[in-house]
Amino acid sequence: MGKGELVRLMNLTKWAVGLASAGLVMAACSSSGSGGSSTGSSQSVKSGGSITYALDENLAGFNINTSAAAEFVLQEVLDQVWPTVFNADQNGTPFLNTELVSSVTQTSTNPQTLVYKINPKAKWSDGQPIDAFDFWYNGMIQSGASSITDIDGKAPDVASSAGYNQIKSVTGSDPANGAACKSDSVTGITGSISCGNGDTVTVTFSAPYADYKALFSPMVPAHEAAKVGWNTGFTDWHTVLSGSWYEISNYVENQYVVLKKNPSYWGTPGKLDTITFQIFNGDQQAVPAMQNGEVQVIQPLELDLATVQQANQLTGVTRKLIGGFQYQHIDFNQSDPYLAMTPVRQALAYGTDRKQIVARTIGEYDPSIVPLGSRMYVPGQTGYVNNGSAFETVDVAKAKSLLQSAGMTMGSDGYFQPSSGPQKGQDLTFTLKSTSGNTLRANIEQLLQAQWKAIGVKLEIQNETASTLFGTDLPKGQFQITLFAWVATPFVSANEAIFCSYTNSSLCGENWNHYANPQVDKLLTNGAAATSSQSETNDYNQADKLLWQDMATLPLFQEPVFTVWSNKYGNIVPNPTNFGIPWNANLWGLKAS
Amino acid sequence: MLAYVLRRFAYSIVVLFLATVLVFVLVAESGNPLAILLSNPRVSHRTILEREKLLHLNLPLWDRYWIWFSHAVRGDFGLTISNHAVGPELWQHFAITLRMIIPATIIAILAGVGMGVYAALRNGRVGDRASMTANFLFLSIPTFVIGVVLKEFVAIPINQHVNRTIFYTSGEQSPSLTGNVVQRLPDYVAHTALPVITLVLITYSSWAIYQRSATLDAIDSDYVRLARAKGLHPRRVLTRHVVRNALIPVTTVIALDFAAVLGGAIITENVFNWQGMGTWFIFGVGQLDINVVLAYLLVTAVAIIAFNLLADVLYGLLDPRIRYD
Amino acid sequence: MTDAFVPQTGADEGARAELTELPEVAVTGLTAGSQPFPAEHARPGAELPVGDEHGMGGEVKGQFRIVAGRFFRQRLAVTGLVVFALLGVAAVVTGHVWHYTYSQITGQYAIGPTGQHPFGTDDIGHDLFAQVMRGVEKDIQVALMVALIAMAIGTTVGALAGFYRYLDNILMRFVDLVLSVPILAVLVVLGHLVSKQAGNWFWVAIIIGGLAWTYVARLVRADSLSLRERDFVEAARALGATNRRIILRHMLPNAIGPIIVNGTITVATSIILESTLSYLGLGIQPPEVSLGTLIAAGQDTATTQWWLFVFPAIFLVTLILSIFLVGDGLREALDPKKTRVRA
Repeated sequence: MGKGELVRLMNLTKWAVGLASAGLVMAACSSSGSGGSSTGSSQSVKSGGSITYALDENLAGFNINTSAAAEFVLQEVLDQVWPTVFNADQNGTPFLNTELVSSVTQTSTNPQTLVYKINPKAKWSDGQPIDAFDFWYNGMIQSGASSITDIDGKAPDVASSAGYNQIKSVTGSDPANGAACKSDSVTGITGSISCGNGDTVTVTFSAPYADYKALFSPMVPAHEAAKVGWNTGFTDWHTVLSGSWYEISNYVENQYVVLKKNPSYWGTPGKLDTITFQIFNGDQQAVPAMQNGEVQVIQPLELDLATVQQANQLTGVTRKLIGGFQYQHIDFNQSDPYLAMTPVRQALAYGTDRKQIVARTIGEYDPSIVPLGSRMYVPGQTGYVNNGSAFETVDVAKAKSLLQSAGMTMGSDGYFQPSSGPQKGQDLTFTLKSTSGNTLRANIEQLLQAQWKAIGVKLEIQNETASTLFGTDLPKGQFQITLFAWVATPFVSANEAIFCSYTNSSLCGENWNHYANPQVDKLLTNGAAATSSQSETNDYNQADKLLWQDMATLPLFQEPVFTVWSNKYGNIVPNPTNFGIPWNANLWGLKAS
Repeated sequence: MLAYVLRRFAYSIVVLFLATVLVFVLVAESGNPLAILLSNPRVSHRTILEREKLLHLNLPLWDRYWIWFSHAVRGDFGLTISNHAVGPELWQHFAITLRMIIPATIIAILAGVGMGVYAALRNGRVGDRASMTANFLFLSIPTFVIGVVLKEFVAIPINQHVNRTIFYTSGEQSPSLTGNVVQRLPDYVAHTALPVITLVLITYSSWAIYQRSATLDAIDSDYVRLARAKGLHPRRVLTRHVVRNALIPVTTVIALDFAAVLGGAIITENVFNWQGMGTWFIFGVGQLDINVVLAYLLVTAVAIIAFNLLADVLYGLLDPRIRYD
Repeated sequence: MTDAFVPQTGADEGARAELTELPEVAVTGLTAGSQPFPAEHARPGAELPVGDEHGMGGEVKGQFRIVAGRFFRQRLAVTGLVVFALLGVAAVVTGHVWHYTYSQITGQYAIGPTGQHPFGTDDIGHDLFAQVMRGVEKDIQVALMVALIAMAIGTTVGALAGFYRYLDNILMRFVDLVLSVPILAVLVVLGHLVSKQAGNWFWVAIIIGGLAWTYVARLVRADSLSLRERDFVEAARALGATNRRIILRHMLPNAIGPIIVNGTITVATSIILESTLSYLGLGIQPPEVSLGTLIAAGQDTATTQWWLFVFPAIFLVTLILSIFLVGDGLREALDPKKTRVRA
């Protein structure tokens, strides 16, 4: 907190959120493909005026689809700049941006074929039309195919190839105003699109991809990328053409990004004249800045009591705490001889007073948070069931008896001692590794230390930098217990990589815990291929129940998202997804009084 | 003197070279800045290899150093780990830091010299004791404590009291500030006031203590006694003999203290959310962004060495008893 | 830069050191603006040379009595000493007798000062009084360790360099290296490396000490350069004393005054450095506490939960101030010229 960028960097939050923006757009697999739903418009606002939003990190570049720049803060800026086929509303439900693409239809399931109808009026801010060429380029460059290079011959930096790697072909047809088809190509990409100026795009997949709504969100201007390149062409804001309501009018690194209305926007224009994203060094600066009238909307990424308390002193503002998609959890590495024993893991879970952890951390400012009962869904999300009610209340006696059943004997110093294995005759001691410089996690660690002492288990804390923890220790299995956060998404299928048997290393790359249960594997596979949302939810909740039984990991709590904005503005609607609060900024405006 | 300066300069080059080698090895050995990408299954191996190639992470350590060195001598500091050219970023952050340290240094010199001379003249009396107590107090308050106190207990209450923002507590200027320098000045001043006060308070006190002591020495010296004995006007003795002689050591102290001012700026920038060199550097260290770390150290080292040389030269110019060989 | 100054009046090393000491001592301060003590204390502590073994005991005792007398006549210095001693004793005693340990999670959390918790509790229920006292203890522990390292290496290297010219060049180049970057920047780089070490207060002390010794070495070097040319050293040499004997028996005892003063200041500056590093998240790591980590945790609630910031901040400033006062008092006491100033 307030200890500078370093601390922020060491927080998984950014990484995980960045990861979510790398392709996992909120979208429920079951909902239908088209139809603009709620866009958060309810209040009448007047045109004109400006607003400043506090951005709590610097931007690394502008191509959100590269791993070098894929950050939540950049997504927030680009919400209103680059064209996005599917947006996500405040409930995480995807909706089609009908001013860009009037319809998306699945015309075949085998092979899966999607037809996008682009608005013929849609164009980039330099006057070039948004057409099939853009879909083709964005699809090809992100496919991860080894034959494809950037214009300079280097491999393209792609934040996520998920979905794009299953695209077989992208073709165009129906050019605007009955013009003749014209072929387009880009250096580095083999082949060309024969009707690049077409307004109808047909995308054919080699294998079904259920999360197709995550694709083409957002799109990079193909004709510009053909000139400046994918990897480094968009590090300078001048090349960032707009294909949406606003365009970038100024950017000073580490200071601000200013958006102004895109004069060549073809649809309903945005209300505000300018939207400024002021860049802050961490979240602690946001509330004082709001107090000083420097910003009018804030949504701190790293939330703590101080921030909420300070915000509570603000007047003339609306504050909102909503459930977020990020949750903290404890993982047990089962390659450890003691943690391999289910009773030991269960004992640790029974000995963990999650209610106390919640009460003394985020519960201090959000009393609605309760211990999390699922690894698949978060409270508020369709499908959420509390599968972990058995572990909701701390049970020291049960924990102790479980440890005894695992062959431990209570020593005279109040700690259990294993009767076999590497710690034979010594106090049972585990080391917890997490990220250093994170106040929330440091607090959880200290509470755990005290709680597990009560069940006779010694806990040592050894925090690492994020790059060491996630880059080395976890992938290489060099840990006993760890604590960090995942970002849940309605793409529940993403959980497969975390919980399916570690023996399948290519599919289950994030199962760092050496957990394996064939039943869970089966349920996760069924869920991903489910045809109805009911059976999908059912499969995932069944899998989660097994995960609770096996005590594979211990979910702690869902983290809230906190938004504060000035009452002078209307139509500001907090959005917990990776689009962030600017998801509907085109509708923001000064209230008509 | 020229020969001396040249020799010092040559020494400094060697020192700088060694410093970059040390820091390069230190940062390079402490981890892979792209390691975090490895744990993200959605980032393809090809992407990671490409980025490693771009940052030369795939090469042996000494080759990496040589690439860095051969470019740096031509003024090219390479890329940050997010693929930006380091050079322009460096100068941009440097300019912001200068906006803080130049006014702070000037005010601190005036305050330090003024209070030091005043305390010496009031030697042992209330004024002396009061100023010395203040000096010792400020000497003992770490930068971050002064910063937080000014921000939370001075600036925000004042702003709330007058119901308008007199002191900005965050950032070096308002966003989308327009107009020419004169029009932007009030905004700069409102943002710069608190950081400058912080930096002045942590810097001036040691200079004041030093100045007081040097002034006392001068008052006590034979030439001042002689001047007094000759019947010179006390004010003339003070200005011509005491202050002038007492300024000689202080000048070098201030020039040499530039390193400390830069160090203080790291914390001040952190507390007040300035995007200066210090903030940039700390962020770079956290990301193991070797080119950022080296660029910062190189620029600060050059500045410090220049000030050290300046100190030598000034010392020689001010004190005719010194000669260089 | 220092070896370049050669005064026109007399080329002997002694006078040279006299003139060069100014810039050298100027950089005693390890952090921004914390080099408070002007050159005086770099002068050989007392004008009376400590003699050979016969009579040495008596003279040292006598000199000690004089210095102690001068020191205890200064009210502020004595206050500093008393406050420092009280803080140190209180910190250690609290760890043993207070009804909460610093790591204990108590029943009450996020409350202001009460009878049970005189300094209140933090967000998760630590007793802040126990934590502040633990922080004082850790700060003193780190600072003493730093002073020990810096004094041991600095004195050895400085004395050798002052005596052997070929070592001098190597030393001064290394010192230049350390001095040509802000020490805080170097510590940030090193702190990043050691911040994950278990029981890392020790490592924090090592990295600070690993840089701080250079400042001590410069001072001691300047002193030995000057002392080497003094009559009593000449005399000893003429009597056939070995270099080792000259350094240990004649030069070091005479340089002890400045070394002590400088050691005291090193203690204070290393507390500033340690707390700054900890404040940045690169020093002491939780669950261990230092005053720097407590202030970092409490700064954001400085107005709403004031006790979390105010108590650690007051203790930190008091601790540093008390040591500076002792240092200043020692300097006055060891400098015969300065007896006229009542500080």
